[in-house]
Amino acid sequence: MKFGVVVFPGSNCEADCYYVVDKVLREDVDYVWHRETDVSSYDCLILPGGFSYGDYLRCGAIARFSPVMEAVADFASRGGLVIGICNGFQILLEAGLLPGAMLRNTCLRFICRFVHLRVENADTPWTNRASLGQVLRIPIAHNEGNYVVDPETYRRLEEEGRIILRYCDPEGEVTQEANPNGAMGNIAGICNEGFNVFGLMPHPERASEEILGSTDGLVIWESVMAYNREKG
Amino acid sequence: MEKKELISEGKSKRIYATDQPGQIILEFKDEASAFDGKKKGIIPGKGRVNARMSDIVFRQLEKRGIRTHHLRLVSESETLAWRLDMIPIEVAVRNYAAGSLAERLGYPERTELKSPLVEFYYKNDRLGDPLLTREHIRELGLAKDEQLDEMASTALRVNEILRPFFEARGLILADFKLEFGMREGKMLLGDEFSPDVCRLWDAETLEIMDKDRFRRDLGGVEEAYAEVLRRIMEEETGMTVYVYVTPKKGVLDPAGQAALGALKSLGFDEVGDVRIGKYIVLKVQGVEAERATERVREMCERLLANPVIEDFRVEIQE
Amino acid sequence: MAELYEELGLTADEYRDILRVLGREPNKVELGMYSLMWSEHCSYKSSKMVLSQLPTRASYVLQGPGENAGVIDIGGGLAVVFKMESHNHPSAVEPYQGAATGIGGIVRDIFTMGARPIACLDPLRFGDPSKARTRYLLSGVVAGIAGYGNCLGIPTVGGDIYFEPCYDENPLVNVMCIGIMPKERLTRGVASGVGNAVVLIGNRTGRDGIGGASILASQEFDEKSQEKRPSVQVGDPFTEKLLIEACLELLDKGLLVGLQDLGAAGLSCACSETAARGGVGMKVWLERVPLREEMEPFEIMISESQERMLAVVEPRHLEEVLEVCRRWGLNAVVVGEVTEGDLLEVFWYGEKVAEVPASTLATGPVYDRPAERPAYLDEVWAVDLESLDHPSDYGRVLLDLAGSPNLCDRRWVYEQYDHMVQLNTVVYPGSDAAVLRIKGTSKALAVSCDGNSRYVYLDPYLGTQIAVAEAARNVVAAGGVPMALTNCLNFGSPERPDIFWQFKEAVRGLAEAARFLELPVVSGNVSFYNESFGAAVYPTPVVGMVGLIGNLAHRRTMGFPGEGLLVVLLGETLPELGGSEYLKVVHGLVAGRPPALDLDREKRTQTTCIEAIRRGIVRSAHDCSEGGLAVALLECCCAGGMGASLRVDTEIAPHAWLFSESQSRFVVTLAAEDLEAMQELAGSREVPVVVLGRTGGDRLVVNDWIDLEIASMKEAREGALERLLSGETA
Repeated sequence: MKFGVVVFPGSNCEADCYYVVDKVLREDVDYVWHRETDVSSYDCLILPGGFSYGDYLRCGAIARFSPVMEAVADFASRGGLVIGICNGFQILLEAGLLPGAMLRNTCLRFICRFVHLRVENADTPWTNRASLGQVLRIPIAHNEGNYVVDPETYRRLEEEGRIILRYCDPEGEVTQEANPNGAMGNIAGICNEGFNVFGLMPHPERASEEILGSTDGLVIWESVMAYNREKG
Repeated sequence: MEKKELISEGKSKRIYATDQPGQIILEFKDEASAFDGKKKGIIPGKGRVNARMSDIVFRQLEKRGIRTHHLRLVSESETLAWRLDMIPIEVAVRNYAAGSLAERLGYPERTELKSPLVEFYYKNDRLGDPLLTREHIRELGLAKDEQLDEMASTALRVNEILRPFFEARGLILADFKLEFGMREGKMLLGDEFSPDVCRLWDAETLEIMDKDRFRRDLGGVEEAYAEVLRRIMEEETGMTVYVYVTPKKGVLDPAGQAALGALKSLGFDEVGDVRIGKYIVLKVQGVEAERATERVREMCERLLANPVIEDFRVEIQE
Repeated sequence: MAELYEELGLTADEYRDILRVLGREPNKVELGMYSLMWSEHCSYKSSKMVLSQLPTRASYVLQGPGENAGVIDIGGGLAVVFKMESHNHPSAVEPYQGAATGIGGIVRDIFTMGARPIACLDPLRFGDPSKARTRYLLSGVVAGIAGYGNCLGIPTVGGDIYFEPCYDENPLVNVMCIGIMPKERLTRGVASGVGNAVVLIGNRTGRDGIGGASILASQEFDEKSQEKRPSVQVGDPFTEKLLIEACLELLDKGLLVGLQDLGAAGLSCACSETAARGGVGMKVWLERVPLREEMEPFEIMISESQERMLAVVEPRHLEEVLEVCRRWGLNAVVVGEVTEGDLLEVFWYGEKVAEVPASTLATGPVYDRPAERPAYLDEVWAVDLESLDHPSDYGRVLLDLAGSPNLCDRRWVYEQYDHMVQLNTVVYPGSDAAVLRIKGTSKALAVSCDGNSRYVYLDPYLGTQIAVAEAARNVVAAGGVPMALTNCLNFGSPERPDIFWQFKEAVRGLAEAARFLELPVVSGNVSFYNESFGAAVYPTPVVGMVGLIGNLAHRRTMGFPGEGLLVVLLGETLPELGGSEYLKVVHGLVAGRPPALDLDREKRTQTTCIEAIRRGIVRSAHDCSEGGLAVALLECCCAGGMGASLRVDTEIAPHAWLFSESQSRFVVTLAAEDLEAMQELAGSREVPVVVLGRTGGDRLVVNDWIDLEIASMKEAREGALERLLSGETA
């Protein structure tokens, strides 16, 4: 399976994603420079975390006009697998590949820590190796992860099973206290209608090795690899 | 003012009639040609640059007492002007020897001339725009002696104005050509002023910034044209547009809530609500207020605001 | 010019020196350059002589002080680069931008040497936490560090915070950065090769901090500091991130002769230092410097606009260098040329506006300032600690200590820092030392900062020795062998003999401890004039220690790792309450003498601990420091979520045993069957081994002195900082 890690000016988790795919998953991986216009040779594109263009105007607002984003949109429209992590998720929202937007965390501070996530749909390319209701321990690191969307779209996301991950407590209860950033409905990750585009605030690449304190992020990588094998 | 039928089409411009008597619209094209049409190509954005630059340069000349046909910019690549009876003579002013002159005088390319030099060329494609002497012009009956004198002195005056104008923007004005025409018995400067009709070199690097890049296949034509425009526009005062981006009604505003709490705790009990947003100031040039508002709204929708969570308001000050 | 020099902060003698060096009167540009380069901040004129006693060499030191940062060889073709510096005054004026640009500056120092920055640590000192100004400064500084560091993708993995009223107006913001590189990429800030181009890369130049760092750093603070706000530099982490990537690419491709960042004194400093180091001259054409606004030549020479680098490039590589910068979207302009001789010549549209010997700018005057032992020492030493009441409820005291500003949990701070990015942080903040793995090897770095200024105030010589010993001990507790240190020395005005005495004593202590523990000082920074309203801050040397863990399996944390393990104290507890957190929290006193430090015993204890870790005897390790053994035990319980039941047999009064801050001690755990091996190891080095009890349960029990649930201990220390900052306890 071949992964492409898209590099925008200001991305800073691209090397981490590359490392995990290369050294932990032992799959093919390339960096994809933001000026590239052809991404057809990849099976899965990763939009990594960071501060694209400094996130000065609004997170992801400028990155989404990078030449590569047209190619990403085209790739996604043909069913290509795209995962946006943290800033990558914000870019997908700005680009309209996923619905909604991000506000600042309600505490108004950057938060970097492990959180618990409940798998809300285990029948997607990204979670097929997880079980429904499984609790994952994966870190977040962001200032703007407070997800909002209009009520109508929220209802649709829920009905269509497109809410993939919600913040929860260690026991799997989705509670106010377990919500680190104020996100609507404790949403941590969502998919598009075709489930081939996935955006999430937590960093699965930071929870892919025992030595870093958790391997719960692996379930996401292993799911997408399994999906790709079966599809292929 | 309405655009009417096409009057004529040249190598770089189309001329249209308007519903205003005596006024025409010049539409600047991206097509480029050289060596009397033997070489052709497209320079993306050239039309826009040439229209904008002509607008700026002609306004600059008007300010310094040169009468021109130019009225105003009406769109990105169109200007409105008086219709003239054109005199079929191109008046060239040269500060440096370059191109044909360097060949003719046997000077090395880019030799600075002792003093600016005025030449007349016959505007005639079939003959290949040949160089004319006063005697030739008299013989052909193209213009009267007084007209020639006026054209030559105006051209030198234009040079006196534009040479320092470009120099201040890091550009050497090596040479240029002008065309004149008559309206109601008066001679006006016509045509355009753009990198198509002059030679401009970067003052520091001596890089060529004009149509020679196209003539000589130097590449980067589009960039050079844009750079020339950028330098010229820098001091152009246009209008200021203020954009206010605020969180949408009903969308939580964590920063506003925090400020509200802090204000209350400081004893500002009269505060009912606080919304914190962004305030963006833009300088806009070369478009009318109405169009500018429209463009800025577009900028907000596409980039400056996120319609999912933010509202915006646009204010213009000319 | 003669009437201007004083306003620019030069003395009459210094001005005479300039006349002598130039053989004529300086013009405005030259005077501006000298005034900045000869400021305390840039020239180290008061500290240079004292600092010369520091040990700076070891077989593995590739670069000691004098460059942008120190460099050590860690084997396997890899080198580690690190340095600490201060950004105190800018942070006092504008905490967010002051701290942010502090990070920007120290990070540039690291990648300038050719290393990829892999971690930052930030030792911070603030005033009384119940004051609104302290809360404003702390939240601003932390947000600034987070805003800049997080954007760069460099994890902030450690540091420390102390609160003392002496920092009310003048907080200390020290920043340390560590980088790693293949040895052959080591690059110096040297100009060489006559005819080589001098290229300015990065942000446009504006009027930022004209006189900023230098003027600010040379004046005491008073109420007028509010007016200085406009001259504070504003950070642009996005451009810095692009600079990191572009510069590392240029170095990887071998396209640069030398690289130097622009910091204090801007172009003046970068040009004169690189030229002086290379023994060459330099021509600079100021009209080529990309500007943000119209500026005079002297302003361009001293502007401290951030995110700019100066590269020396051979002409044959110039096009490629400019192309790499273009690709990263960075300005890159040839602004000068390396010349023969040693003249720095500055031109402005063809006119020569300055001509000075580069070396005279780079090496300013040197002063031997008078020093005199301050009188307060006798007073604080004379306080009778014996007569103080003993507490009756030791558990209550422990909880009070655990929730006190200096000892409580720092989560509120470090959770604002991205401490995980780059996937190297294998021991997260909150432990003795942060541990960073080195990918592709089995090695890791253990890094820690330390500096208890209360000890230094009470005894500058001893207090500074303790700072070195404790920073090393932190590294050892994490399983690392301390290798080298950096430091930041924060003091009041060197022109005051009592302050300068503190400084000299502190440096003497630093030098002796470093020499004895065989820890070369490879980089550092001095910050003087930390005073507000005429009163100096506590003398505050801060030590940054870097150690190597040869095998990742040897990394240790403090938390009790399992049930039924022996809890063992390595070292000896003496009734030493002078300068302790206990005295401060319970009796409101800063008095007495700091705990004694025997460097030889310190070394033996550290070697014992590290050896026991290597042999797999020690399962967890924690340095015993502020708050004493009781607080150390509480931290082990909370971190591991595991209680312990301890029986202590001692002659010492319970409160002294519990809260004494005796040096050279570790709390470790080991399996009962390993006790003999431990005793043998320790015995051969004459290090006492005291078995305190066993781990287990969900309470910490010590004799009938203390019996506390883990939950209540956690409750006391976690969230305490947030409560303090929200003003709840104010």
